[in-house]
Amino acid sequence: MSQGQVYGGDEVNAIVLDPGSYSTRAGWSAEDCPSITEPSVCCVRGNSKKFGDSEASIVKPDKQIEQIMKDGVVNDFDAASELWMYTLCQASPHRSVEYLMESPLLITEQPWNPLATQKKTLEFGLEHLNVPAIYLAKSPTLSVFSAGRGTGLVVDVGEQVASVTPVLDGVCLRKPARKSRRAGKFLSEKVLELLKQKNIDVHATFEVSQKKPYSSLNGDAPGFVLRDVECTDSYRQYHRLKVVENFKETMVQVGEPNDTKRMFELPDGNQIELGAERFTLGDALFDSDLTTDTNESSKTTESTETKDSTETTETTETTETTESAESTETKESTESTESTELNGWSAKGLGQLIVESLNACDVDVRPNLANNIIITGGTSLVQGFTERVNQTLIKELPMLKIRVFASGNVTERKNSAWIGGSILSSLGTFHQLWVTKQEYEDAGVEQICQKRFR
Amino acid sequence: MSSGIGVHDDSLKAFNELKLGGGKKDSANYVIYRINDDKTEIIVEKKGRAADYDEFVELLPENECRYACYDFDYELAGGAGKRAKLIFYTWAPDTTPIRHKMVYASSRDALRRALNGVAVDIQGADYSEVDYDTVLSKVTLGKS
Repeated sequence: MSQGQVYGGDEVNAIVLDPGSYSTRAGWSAEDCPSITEPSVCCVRGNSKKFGDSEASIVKPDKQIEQIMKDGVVNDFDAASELWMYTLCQASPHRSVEYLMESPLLITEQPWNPLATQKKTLEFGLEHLNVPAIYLAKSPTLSVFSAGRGTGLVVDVGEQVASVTPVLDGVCLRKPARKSRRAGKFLSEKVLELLKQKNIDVHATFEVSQKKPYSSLNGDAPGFVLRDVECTDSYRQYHRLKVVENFKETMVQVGEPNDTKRMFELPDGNQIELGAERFTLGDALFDSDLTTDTNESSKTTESTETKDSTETTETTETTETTESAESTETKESTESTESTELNGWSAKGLGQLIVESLNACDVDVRPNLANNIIITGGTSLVQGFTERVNQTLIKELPMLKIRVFASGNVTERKNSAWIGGSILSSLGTFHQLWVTKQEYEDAGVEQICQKRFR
Repeated sequence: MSSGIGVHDDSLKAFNELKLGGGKKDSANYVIYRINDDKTEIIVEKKGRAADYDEFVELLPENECRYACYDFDYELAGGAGKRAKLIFYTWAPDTTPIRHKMVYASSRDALRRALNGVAVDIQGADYSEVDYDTVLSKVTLGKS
C-alpha cells in the first residue's frame, strides 16, 4: 500500500487563513468561500487593541485605526497575530479557541514574505495558538491551482501591491516575479487627488447628519449639515477611504475612453458626474507617464498615517514612483538586504510588469505562461481591466499567444488564494505535507523555514 | 507543492504499453486518466485506439477535468516522413467547479513526473486549445 492510501480518504477539517493587505479572511477547508472577512486594521485606544469591521465603525474620540499590513506583508506582527486570533475565533464554532487547537492551520503568504515573518508565523500557529500542524502556502500557487492549472502567470492586483508571479508546476519563480504599488490604495489616492482638484471634499458617512442632493460641479450650494464628532485623523481617513472605494466601484473604468457619464453621490449628497475622466483614473494602473505631479497630494493622503516611521518611508516611496527608475534601483538594493529575495519595487505600469516578467522567464516556458495568465485580486474588478490586460499584451507581445483567464465571479476573484487553500487543505492526501508540531520541535523553526517554505 | 495524491500502478502500466506499443495497428494510442472518487489516486479511466485525433479529443468530457496521453502522429513538412510524439494533456475546462480544477491542477505533478518519455505538454481549458492544428504547431515548434 502506498503512502497515499494510508492517509487517503479521511478529509481533514483544517482552517484556512488568508491575510490580505485589505482584508483578512478565514474559514474552514472544503468550503467555497471564507466564512469571516475582516478588515486588516487594528483599532487602538490607549493600550487596548480591538479588531473587526463593527469595531472599526464605532467612533470614539481617541480611536486610532492602524494598518496591519504593509506592501502585502505583515508590518506589525503583534497586532497581526491578535487580528488573526480574533478572525480565527470568529470563524470557529462558538468562537472557541479549543476548536482551533485541534485543527491544522493553513496560512497563505506572498512570495516576498520575509524569513523573519515566516518564523513568527510558525511560532504563532504552533506555539501561541497550539495547532497540531501548519502549512504556509504561496498565494500565487494557490491562485493558479484554483484556476485549474499547474502553470500560469498570476497577475494579482490587491489593495497595496500589484504583483506578477510566474508559477511553474506549482512552484513560484522568484527571480522573474515583479511587483509594484500601483494597486487599490494607489488608485484611491488618485481619486482623492482628482476630487481635490475639483474642490470636492469627501466626507465619511458618519460625519454627515443631514443631506440633500446637490451638485458642486454645477455650482449648487452644499445642502448638508455635518455632525459634530470628535475623532482622530486616522479614523476619519479610514472611513473617507471607504467612500472612495464605493466611488471606485461605480466610477473607475479602464479601456477606450468614451464620454459616457456616470453619477456618484457622496454621503453628503454631492452628486458627481464624470465622463472621460473616469478612464484617466483607471489608466493610472497601467500607464507610468500619468503620475507626474502626484507628489503633493500623495503626501497629504499619506500624512494621516499614524506611525511616524511608516509615514516617512511611505512618502519617499510614493514620490519615488513618480521619479525616474534610477532612484528605484538604489531603493532595490536596500530592500533586498532587508529581507526580500525578489527584486525591489517597480514604478512601471501593470502591462509593463507583465511583459518584463515574461521576458525574464526562460524562453521555453514563455508560451505556456502567456497562454495561462490568471488575473486575481480585488482591484482587478475595475471595469474593463481584463480586456485592457489582454489588449496591452497582444500589442506588446505579438509573438506569443495570449490567453487571459479571470473568474467572472466576484467572490472567486477576491478570494482566489483562500479558495485554493481551502481546497488543497481539504484533500486527505495533503496530510503528508503538513508541518507537524513534532517535526517543528525536532528540526527547529530555522530548518523548517529553510527546507519547506523558502 | 502538491496535493499528495498518488498514482495507481495500472496508470503507469497503461502508459508504458502506450509508449512501447507505438505503431502497431491494434495497440492503444491513447490513455485517459482521472482521479478516483476517494481523491487518493490517479487511475486509468479508459484506454484504446482512436481512429483519428478528433475521435480522441471527443473523449475528453466537456465539464470535467482529466489527464490524458496521446500518441500523436504527424507528417513532416516537405514529405520528410512520419513522426510520432507522446503528448500529455491536462484537461481542465473553465466550466468545471473550482474544486475539481484545483484537485487536478495540484495533483498533475505526481502523474507527470512518473511518465517518462513525454515530448509535449498541453494544458487545455477548452476544445480550441487541444484541436489538431494547435497541438501540431506546438509539437513541431521548437522541436526541429
